[in-house]
Amino acid sequence: MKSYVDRRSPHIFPTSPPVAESRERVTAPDTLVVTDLELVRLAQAGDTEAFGALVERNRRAVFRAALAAVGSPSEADDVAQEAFVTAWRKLSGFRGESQFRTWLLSITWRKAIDRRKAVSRWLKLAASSSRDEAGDDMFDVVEQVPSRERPQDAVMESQALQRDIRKLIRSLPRKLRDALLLAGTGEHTYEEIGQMLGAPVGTVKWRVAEARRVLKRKLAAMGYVDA
Amino acid sequence: MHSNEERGRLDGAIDRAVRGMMQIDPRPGLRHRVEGRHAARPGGALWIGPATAAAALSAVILVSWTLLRTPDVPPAPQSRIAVSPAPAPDVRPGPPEPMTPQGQTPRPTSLHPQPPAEAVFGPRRDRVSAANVGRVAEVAPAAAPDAPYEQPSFAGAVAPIAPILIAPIEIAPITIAPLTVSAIPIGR
Repeated sequence: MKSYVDRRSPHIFPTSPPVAESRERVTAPDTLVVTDLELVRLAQAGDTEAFGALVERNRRAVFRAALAAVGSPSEADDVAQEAFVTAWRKLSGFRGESQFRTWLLSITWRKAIDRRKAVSRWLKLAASSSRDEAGDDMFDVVEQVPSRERPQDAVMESQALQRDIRKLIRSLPRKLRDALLLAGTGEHTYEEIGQMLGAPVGTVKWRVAEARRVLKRKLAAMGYVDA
Repeated sequence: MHSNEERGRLDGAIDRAVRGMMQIDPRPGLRHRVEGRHAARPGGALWIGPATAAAALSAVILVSWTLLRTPDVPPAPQSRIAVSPAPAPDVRPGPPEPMTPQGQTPRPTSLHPQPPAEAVFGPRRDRVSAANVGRVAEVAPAAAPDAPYEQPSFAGAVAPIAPILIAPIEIAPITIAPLTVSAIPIGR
């Protein structure tokens, strides 16, 4: 059985500490060092192992992109499978004019948005009475953070802060939330995020910064102090 | 990039929350699930195609059989009444037809009234039912296609019917008396 090693440089997540090398280096004697494009050419020729290697290389990036859109790991896993199968079926049409990873992430994002819309329609029916007008997808159904006294104990405060931040992230406007969560995956560059969202890199960066500003403003209004 | 302490407590907390939400790995075996799903799709398509075609063909056959099946209904005796000879009623010519607007031609009418189909070809002889089993011998033979038309007589089979007399409707013209208005003198 052949093994293919990724010889790309590791990705650098722009808003978090550098991500540790996440891909295992295979040192078996029959290891072949090939690029994504070479694997694509082999897969186009019918090499199933080559496409399997492409799945292994990109599974985390695809899964996390889907997770940023749909918000549920089980839904994200299903979307990731769907995206890989679609890419496999359309692989003969891939000419190599763009990077395979970018092309794959675009497919993934479209699938994830379709799923989010479908889930959103269902959730709107289920929770139409208690829903507020801030957002339009499944994240927004989560209840809003109540205004109450913050616990003073440090540990409890940290846990409560994390819980409140997650709720506030889910209540962010969709564009800000997508950019913030994709930037926080540790798998995607700003260029890739821009390709997925259909926005320039500068716009993506502004959205991430704006999302953080909105979060901090709401946290301050809830009584959390930025020491 | 700043450290969490330099950027403040809330910035660090936001970073941790985002990472906690997003830095999740997919379940093991994604590659095998993808391969299984990819292999399952063509099989499903092969099964669905013939099944759909068979269902459509069955529906077409059923509808065709239902529509083309001749109903086993005896010939209605009322059809003979229609062809029985009767004196033409004395009808006065009606009022003149309304004027047709310019540019429109009146619909052409048939100069030769066509006899009913049963009077030309005879009643249907290949059907025997409880209603006409005793009358099969009375049915007149069908006329040759080039023979002159002759009105068949069924006087012995059906009782004569009194002709319908249509009385002309007389409408009296409506007369409108002229309205006379006299001036009212206004005195000072």
